[in-house]
Amino acid sequence: MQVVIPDIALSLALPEIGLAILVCAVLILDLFVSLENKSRVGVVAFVGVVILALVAFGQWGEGARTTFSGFYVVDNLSVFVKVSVLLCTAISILLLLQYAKVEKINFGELYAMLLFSVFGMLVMASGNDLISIYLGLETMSISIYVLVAFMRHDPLSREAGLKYFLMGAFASGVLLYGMALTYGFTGTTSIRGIAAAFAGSGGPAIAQNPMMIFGLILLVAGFGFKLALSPFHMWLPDAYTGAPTPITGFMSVAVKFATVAALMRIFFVALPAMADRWNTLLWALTAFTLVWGNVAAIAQTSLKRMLAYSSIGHAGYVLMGVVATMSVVDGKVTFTDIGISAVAFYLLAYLFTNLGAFGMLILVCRDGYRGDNIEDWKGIGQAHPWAGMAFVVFLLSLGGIPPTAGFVGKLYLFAAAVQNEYYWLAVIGLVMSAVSMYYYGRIIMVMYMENRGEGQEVMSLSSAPSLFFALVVLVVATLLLGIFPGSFLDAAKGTVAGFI
Amino acid sequence: MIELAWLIPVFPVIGVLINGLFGKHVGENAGPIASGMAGLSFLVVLGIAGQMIFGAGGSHTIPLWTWVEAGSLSVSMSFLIDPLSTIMLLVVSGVGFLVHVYAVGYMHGDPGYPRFFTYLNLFMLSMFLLVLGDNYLVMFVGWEGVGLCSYLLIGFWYEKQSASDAGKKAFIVNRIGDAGFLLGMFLIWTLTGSLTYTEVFQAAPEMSAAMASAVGLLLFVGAVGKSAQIPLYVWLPDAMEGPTPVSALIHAATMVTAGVYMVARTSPIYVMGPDAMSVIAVVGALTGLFAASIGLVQNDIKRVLAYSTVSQLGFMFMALGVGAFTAAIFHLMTHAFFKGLLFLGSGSVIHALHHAPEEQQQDMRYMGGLKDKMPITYWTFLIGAIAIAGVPPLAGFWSKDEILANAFFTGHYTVWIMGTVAAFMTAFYMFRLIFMTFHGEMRVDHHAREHIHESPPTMTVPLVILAVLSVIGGVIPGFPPEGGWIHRFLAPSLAKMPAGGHAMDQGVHLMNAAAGGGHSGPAVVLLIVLAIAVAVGGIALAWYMYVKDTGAPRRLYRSIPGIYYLLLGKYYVDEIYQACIVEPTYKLMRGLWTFDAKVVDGAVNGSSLITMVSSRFSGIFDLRTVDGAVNGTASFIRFFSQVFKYLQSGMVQNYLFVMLLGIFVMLSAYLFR
Amino acid sequence: MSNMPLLTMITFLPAAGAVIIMLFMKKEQTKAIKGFATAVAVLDFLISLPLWFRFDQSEAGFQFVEKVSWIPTIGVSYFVGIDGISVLLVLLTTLTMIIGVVCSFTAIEEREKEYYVCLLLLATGMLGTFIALDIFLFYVFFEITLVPMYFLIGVWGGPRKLYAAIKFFLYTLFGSVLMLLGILAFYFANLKMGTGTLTFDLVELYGVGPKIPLSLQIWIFLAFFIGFAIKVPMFPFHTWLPDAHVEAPTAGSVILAGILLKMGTYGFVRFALPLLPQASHVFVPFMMLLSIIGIIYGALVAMAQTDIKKLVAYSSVSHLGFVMLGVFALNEQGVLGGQLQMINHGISTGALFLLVGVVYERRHTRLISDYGGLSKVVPVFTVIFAITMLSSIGLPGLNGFVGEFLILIGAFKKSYVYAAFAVIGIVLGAAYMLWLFQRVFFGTLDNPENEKLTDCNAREVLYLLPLVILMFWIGLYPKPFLGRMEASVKKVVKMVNAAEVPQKAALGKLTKLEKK
Repeated sequence: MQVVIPDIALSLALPEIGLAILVCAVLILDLFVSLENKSRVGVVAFVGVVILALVAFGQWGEGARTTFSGFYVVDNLSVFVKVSVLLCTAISILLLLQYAKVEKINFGELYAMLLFSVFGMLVMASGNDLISIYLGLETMSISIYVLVAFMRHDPLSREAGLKYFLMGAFASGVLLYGMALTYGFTGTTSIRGIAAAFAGSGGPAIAQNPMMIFGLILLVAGFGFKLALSPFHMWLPDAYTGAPTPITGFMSVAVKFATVAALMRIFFVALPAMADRWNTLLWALTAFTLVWGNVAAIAQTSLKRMLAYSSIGHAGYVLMGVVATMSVVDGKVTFTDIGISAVAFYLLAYLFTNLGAFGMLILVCRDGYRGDNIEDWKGIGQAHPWAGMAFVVFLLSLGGIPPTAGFVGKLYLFAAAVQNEYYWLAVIGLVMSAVSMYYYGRIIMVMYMENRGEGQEVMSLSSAPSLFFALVVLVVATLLLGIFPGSFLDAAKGTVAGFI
Repeated sequence: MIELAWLIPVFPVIGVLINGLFGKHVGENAGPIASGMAGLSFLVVLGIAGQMIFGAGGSHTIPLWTWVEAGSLSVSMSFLIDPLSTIMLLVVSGVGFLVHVYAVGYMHGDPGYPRFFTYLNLFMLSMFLLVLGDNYLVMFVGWEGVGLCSYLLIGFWYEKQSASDAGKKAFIVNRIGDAGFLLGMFLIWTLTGSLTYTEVFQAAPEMSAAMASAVGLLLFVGAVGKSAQIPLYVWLPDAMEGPTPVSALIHAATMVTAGVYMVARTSPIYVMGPDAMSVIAVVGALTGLFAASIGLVQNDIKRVLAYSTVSQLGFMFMALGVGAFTAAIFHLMTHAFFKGLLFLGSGSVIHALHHAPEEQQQDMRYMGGLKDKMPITYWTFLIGAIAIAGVPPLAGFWSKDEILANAFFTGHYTVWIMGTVAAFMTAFYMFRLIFMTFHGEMRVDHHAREHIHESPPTMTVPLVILAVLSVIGGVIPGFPPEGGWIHRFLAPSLAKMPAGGHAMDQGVHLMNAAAGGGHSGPAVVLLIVLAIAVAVGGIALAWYMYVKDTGAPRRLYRSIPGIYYLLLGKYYVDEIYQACIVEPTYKLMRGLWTFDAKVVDGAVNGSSLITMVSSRFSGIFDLRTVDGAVNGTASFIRFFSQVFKYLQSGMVQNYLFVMLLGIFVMLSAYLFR
Repeated sequence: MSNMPLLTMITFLPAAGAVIIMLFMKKEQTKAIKGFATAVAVLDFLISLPLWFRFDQSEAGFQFVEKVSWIPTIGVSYFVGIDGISVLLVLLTTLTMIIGVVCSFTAIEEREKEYYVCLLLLATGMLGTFIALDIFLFYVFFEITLVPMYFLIGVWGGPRKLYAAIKFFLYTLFGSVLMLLGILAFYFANLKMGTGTLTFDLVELYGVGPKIPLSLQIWIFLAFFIGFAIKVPMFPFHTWLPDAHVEAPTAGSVILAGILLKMGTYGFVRFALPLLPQASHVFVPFMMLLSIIGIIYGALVAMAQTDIKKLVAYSSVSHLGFVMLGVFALNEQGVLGGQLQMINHGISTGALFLLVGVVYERRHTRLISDYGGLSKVVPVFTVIFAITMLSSIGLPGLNGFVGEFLILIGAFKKSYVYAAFAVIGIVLGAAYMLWLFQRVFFGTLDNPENEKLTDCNAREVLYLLPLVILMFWIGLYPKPFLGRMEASVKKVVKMVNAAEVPQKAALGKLTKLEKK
């Protein structure tokens, strides 16, 4: 038996390698920093992540290149996802710096675990093999279980972590079983290899095999769980509510990036032969998710829980782009660029917007007080006009009102849906985005239009510079993507290059 | 002079601006100012009329500016001076001026004095526009304008509920007519591509009879509203809530005749549509008879005159309907004189009685014997009454006789009979009014008696002038019948009934024969004798019942109470309208409002409610799958929670259950379909 | 001078003013804020005046055009310009803004800084909507207006402000998102069947319509219809309007009635008709039916109201029914009349809301039954109200008549049936307005509260006067207004009629579509 030493281009994995080093550095640094100064660890992590983001950005636009025997691929999509995830991480660290102090969870492990999960995400983004994708997924998930339960003193957080863990483990199993079935029929775990197997002479037979279909369903269900698509979303409200707020923001965005990237890679590249099946499944999941997430959000009185449901809805929007990528012309399935680039842009817009929204929640956090209840926000608009306006910008962006990032993102998604004639999906999405303005608008209403009763004081705001800086960046980015989205749209379009 | 026609409406505009904007400062000078403006307009009209009558005549267009222009539609603000508008201008500005002068005295001391004269000038302006316009749209401006002024002036004493109600009623009823007018106008434009009289009438001969009738009927709807014909006459009696000069000017002499003017103006189209003509004749005759019958028993002095006006307008439409356009305009003119006179006379009476209790001021049952106290009023009133009754040689005789003769000779015998009966009633109720008001014993309230006196000169002078006109206004233009000056003068403006193709062909022939024989044709003479007999008969009956044997009316009522109350109650038309139109409209409006709030808006709120409820439900569903076991609402979940207690909470299996359910659904959808 | 980006300046000046207020003025400096806001509004009006004077009446196309590439990736450009259809709306907007600012001086007593910021931002949104020639840009402005209006109603509104604000926001948002679907469908239809490029450029898209199959046109039209009809609002999508009007502060109502509703009717003329000519023809009976129902229904429901503002709000439903009737007559008279009536409705209904605001500020009630006999105590107010009312019911000589007349004659030309039903609205219009007038101004002054009423003050007369002048001007000499609109309206009418399809064929296709 001949062992072939594969040609390994380590430079392609530079961000991941860098990140691994950074994690170690953070862990080691943690040993030398006193408990009061743990923020320094965070600052180091922040600086490191920013640098890594720049490194990752350097890989943009160089075409699709594989390494580790095809386990690993670097193309524009993976670069886009990596840069975005790192950006999200950087901002989340800024948000954490303040929050961790308030909640007294300011430990070095916090940042280390965060970076661990990011590592998993980067691997997922570049995974070109079911194995590498699964590895990344598990690395990410396990780190996040820990992060969710990080506030050990808070039973809610513990409970959330445990739930998330149990459900996550189950879902990973489902996903893995789906992968295994796929492997069983195609004899390979390589993404390209699977595609080749389906394209081969036996392909049509495999595609019709009930067990393969079962495997596909398991794959869809597994991803559905990870993305919290209804009806697999049950864990999300609890997990999001219980987790530390910056972590909630982080996972609502970064996990979506990584998972959607992996999902697209598996479905678009490996399983196009079964596109009509998974597309219909995803169509149904999307529609259901859009409705459930947005409708259920209406009744929430906890702001965090409302945003949790809203993120279910947004997962639906993202998935709408995935669904809308497929176009059937004269019975032939093709994939159009617009859906993928819409997904990419939407995620980017969502990154700034949703982190901003969670950042606003952190802004009012004080010792033992989370400002979670909507009623707490009464009168903020008057007492803190700038903060109020920032929140309004985020909420409008979440609702898809111009001139914000969310509007352009949604427009692009709907454009994809309309171009490939998913009219009903577009109608559902549009109507639901109007419905979503009901609960986003209610926050605005509470902030501006309802006055505090006698003796009730308006919440005071945190004055942490890191938080302030993060929020300013997020507001500016949200507006920038809304008003001058040109170059970002180009980038989103670029993600398609070398992908399908 | 004719080029100066634009000046005619300018003077009232000045009056409106002065009195309207500076009313407070002008005070009681408002009257003279407004009268002066009306007088100036009258002077210009006189000048123009002189030129038209003694000069070349013809028709002259005075263009002012392009008003509305939209694609192929172009309407300009232009005036037309022709014989028809000249006659109308003379009547409007002449009577208008006199009423202004009269009102200076009549309205003395009223707190709304400047406002009154503002409205009055505004009315003159609108009426001038109505008459002067060279196209239907400008006429419509005036048409609506006079309606507005009528509204404002009827409701002049706005604090009185009945007055403001009456004003509103007048406007809305008029609007119903206007809607017809508008549609007629649209049809004209669609058919001829123009709204300007000259162009429309040039194209008129090409119209089919059906289209011409359609146009005619639509326009007639407008006329019915404005000129108070059946079924839209109901506003006019109520309009008597306005000050009496207003009743004289607007609701007797000028505005209400606008419909007559309009139909006469449109005569080239009407002659093409015989069906429309027949409808007009019948409606006119019916109105004439119907209103006259109501007038027989009314006790309010102004209401008698109001119903008389409705009835006389009916005569005019009768004339128009039988094709006697000239006769209609002639009667319009004489009617303006004597009805203006009668109203102003009644105003003088009311003015004299203004110390009596309010409900008695206009009630003839509380009058009587006034002729000695106010002789000028009495004698002028008497002249007016004789004129309207149709006794020669006073004005009413000439015009009314022509109408009836035309009806007869054109073969409209039913119309003629109705007209004749109405004429009889007219003579009767007018003299009933005279006898109840001026003769017999005085029944006026004791306190008011010493205050009764003749009115001041500003009021009596117009009375005298109008009385003179009522005497000579018929014989001079109208002698000999069917061949008088007015016929020659108006001929260029009015269309002639086509000689052939009509059912009334024979009648026309007869009439021509009679006219050829001049005044001495046997049929004509017979008709004249009959007309005089009817008039005198009516007067005599009134004399018998209200002077000779004053118990007679009471015996008569007793013997036919049903008819009496039917007439006294004005056939209960108002009540019928109230029950059949007004109330249902109110009901509809309330119903729709409920519908809007409950159903239309309810659907909106309902959908949001459904969303809300399902939100709550899905929230609960999510929670239940989470905490259902903990909350223990369902026993089987509680059972599971016991079993899996070591998992700290019982929700996870529920999650998994739902998840597996999802997978199951998908599987069944794909594998076992 | 001629190279200045005039439209951009007009549009963004208010927003710039809002930013300056936000950044540099303290909320305690209410006088300075009011003065500054007024100055901005007046300046904006002044710089918009060249649009009136330098407008070339003979030119049917767009003027004062500016075009800059904005998001080339998806073919969006910052493309603005005006033609006869929009020029008057722009001017009306700048004029209304002055009035809106001035009429709020005493009416708004709290959070004034935010109030004027909202007002000025709203102005930018509205102006942008009317000048945008790029559908994407149009949509952006169309949506942006929702936000400040939401605040105006929600923060400074009446007792049920929250309900009204969210209802306004969601209802109109619901319509506009569906419209977005239509826009996108058209955008891709153009890609497949039209110019083959990705573009939202209206000028390029004009003319593409006829190439799109009728079945698709109908769907796109429906999407546009939902968006615009809710905005107009047409029956049965009107119920947000009374609530919004009643709860909004005076300036909000004035702007809502005067400008915002016009965005819907304008949308039909600017987009639905020329872009979807065949579908427009197919929908004529349907649109006419809704318009007529709106006219009569609005009038009857207005009659049943006990709240003055609500009455005026429902009268808007009726009046805008007329506008739509004219627009869908699809001939010059009708469309021109509809266009003019948009302006007229802005003037007279705006004035009515201002007048209601004047008494509301003094008496804090809008119930008709709380008034009566007012003409005795407030003569000037009465006169202005009377003129406005008459303008609203279309008395000849005032502005409303010219518009209504053209609309009706246009509708008659289309089919006499439409006009015959629509004239009922004229009668009812007179009925509810006169009844209102009677109940408020006539009768005896029996409520002692009303005896203390003071007449309009100089400021109030000053902001009402321009509207009254316009009422007479348009009524007596509408030529400058009609003249400016005519060429462009002709062009639209030509575009929509050039591609007329036989009704039968269209209906046949429709049924086929349903079978699918």
